[in-house]
Amino acid sequence: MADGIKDKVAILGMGCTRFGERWESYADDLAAEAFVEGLEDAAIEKKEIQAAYIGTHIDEINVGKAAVPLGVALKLPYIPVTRTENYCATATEAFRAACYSVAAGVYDIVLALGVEKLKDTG
Amino acid sequence: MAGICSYGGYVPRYRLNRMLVYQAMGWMNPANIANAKGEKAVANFDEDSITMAVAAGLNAIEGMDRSSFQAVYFASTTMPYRERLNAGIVSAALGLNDHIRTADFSGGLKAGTTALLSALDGAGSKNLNNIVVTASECRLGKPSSSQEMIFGDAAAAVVVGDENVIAEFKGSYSVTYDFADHFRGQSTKFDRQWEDRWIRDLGFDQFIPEAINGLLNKYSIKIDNFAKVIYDCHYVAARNKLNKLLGIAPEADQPNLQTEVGQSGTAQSLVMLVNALEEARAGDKILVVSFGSGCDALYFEVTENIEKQKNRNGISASLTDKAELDNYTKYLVWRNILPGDAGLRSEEDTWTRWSALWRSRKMVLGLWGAKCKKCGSPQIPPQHVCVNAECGAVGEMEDYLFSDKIGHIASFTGDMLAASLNPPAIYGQVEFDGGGKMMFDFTDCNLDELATGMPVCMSFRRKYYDEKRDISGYFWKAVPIKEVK
Repeated sequence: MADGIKDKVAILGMGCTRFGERWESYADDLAAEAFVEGLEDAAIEKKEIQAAYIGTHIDEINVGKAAVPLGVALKLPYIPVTRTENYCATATEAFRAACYSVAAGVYDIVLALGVEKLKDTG
Repeated sequence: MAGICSYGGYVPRYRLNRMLVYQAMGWMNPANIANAKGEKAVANFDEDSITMAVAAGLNAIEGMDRSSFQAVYFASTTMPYRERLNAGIVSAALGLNDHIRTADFSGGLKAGTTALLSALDGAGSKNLNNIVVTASECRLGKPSSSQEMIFGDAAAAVVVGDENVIAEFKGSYSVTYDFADHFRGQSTKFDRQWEDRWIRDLGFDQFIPEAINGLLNKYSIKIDNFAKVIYDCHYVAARNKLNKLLGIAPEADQPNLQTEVGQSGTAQSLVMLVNALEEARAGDKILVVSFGSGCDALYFEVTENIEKQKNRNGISASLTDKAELDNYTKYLVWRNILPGDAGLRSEEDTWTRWSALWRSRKMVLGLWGAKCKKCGSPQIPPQHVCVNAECGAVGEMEDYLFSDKIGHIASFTGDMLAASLNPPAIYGQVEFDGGGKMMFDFTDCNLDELATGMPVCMSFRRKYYDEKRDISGYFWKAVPIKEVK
């Protein structure tokens, strides 16, 4: 009988970019900024992360349709990286998938990251 | 002492035999057989006046400190942009400083020498030093016109300064006439010209002597003091007549490369100048005369420093590095004269994101990557997190130039599905000497010539043309290095 994810998953740390127009930054710059802060907050090392989920929606203009850009931007070799998309719940989807993978006992530590770069649309 | 410090040249790889043009279009203009001699240089599908100017410019600045340049002057009548500084694109592609002066010179075909004169004035007055002057042209004649036969694509560049010059600038003389032998309006694609006899008899026969005699009188010098006289005139009979009239000895008459390259507009007199400098010796006096809406005549004297420049490629290396374009219709499609169908994928709308291009302008236009200050790994595109797994430093990068690096082909493929005006689209991974690896298009080559491990150099090319918005977008491609014999 299913019993949900209550008491099975915890948030170790969080990071968030500075808000603004951010003309100087690509999506991967923003991802790196949030990631570095999250890593420090969690007080863990990058190599402890066993899987990553990226939520990004407006794929044509920044990140693209794959999860690869997250792995490339943050340098996460040899771990599974997955991209999710669900309109405004896109990053929530990434977060939920990350929670489920930990709750299922597949991984101990997982990254969920949502990113959107909206200022290059003219 | 202002003068020329260095030179460079570029002739695109493909040459179209003029008889091929005549075989295709001679039925419409049989008299064009008179022009059907030799071959004309044709820009590849991904080349235009900007990319050729960059190639010549890179050749000219090779080995020089990029931070020493203070200006870039670009001359052409076939610039891709009417608004957006073309010289600004050239300067960024050359990898030069942001804080420099840049200007486009256009209009009459003498714009090439006018740009050179402006640079010489700047250096002479000590207001500017190390100025890149580049002229490049990609003019179109209508199919079956004489211009189609006569014109060729080429570029030349010189660095102007006031120290260690290889050719000292001694003086100049200019004439300006609103003589509309050739003209193009704001929205005209093809060159138009008035009658040849009028251009010859009232144009070349009068203005060239006016400019040359004006200079000779001004500086009390004789024509036979010049080791080389460079002047732009593609009419063979008019050239012979002018040589006789002005007393230009056959050995002083610098070849105009009409049967090897073709008439290259604003670049013509500079192409001939660069070609002459390759052979010049200390003490030689050189006279350069342009033609188009008047003439500029420039007088140089070659110095001992010329010996230090003997290994430059210039124009002559480009003349040897050639491949036959054995297909006239391919030329028509490349120049967008004949609308070829590149398939459904070519119709996909790709926006130019100006704010994104601005953000990555150094990478896109200059091929600047990054080098990690912690571990020294070069990386391209520039990274925020170091690509070296052992390092992983964050935000510790400094600029690192890739455009001047030699690479080797790590992988390649030919793609018949990708939209291309020269299928198959050839692309793959390039591994740079010293570090760094990225995917690039390969150009100026055929698929069957490529092999992994083959050395390549980087070449600034037109990456796409957005017909809907009239945008030429640029990036770097890899060109296999061929042995030039």
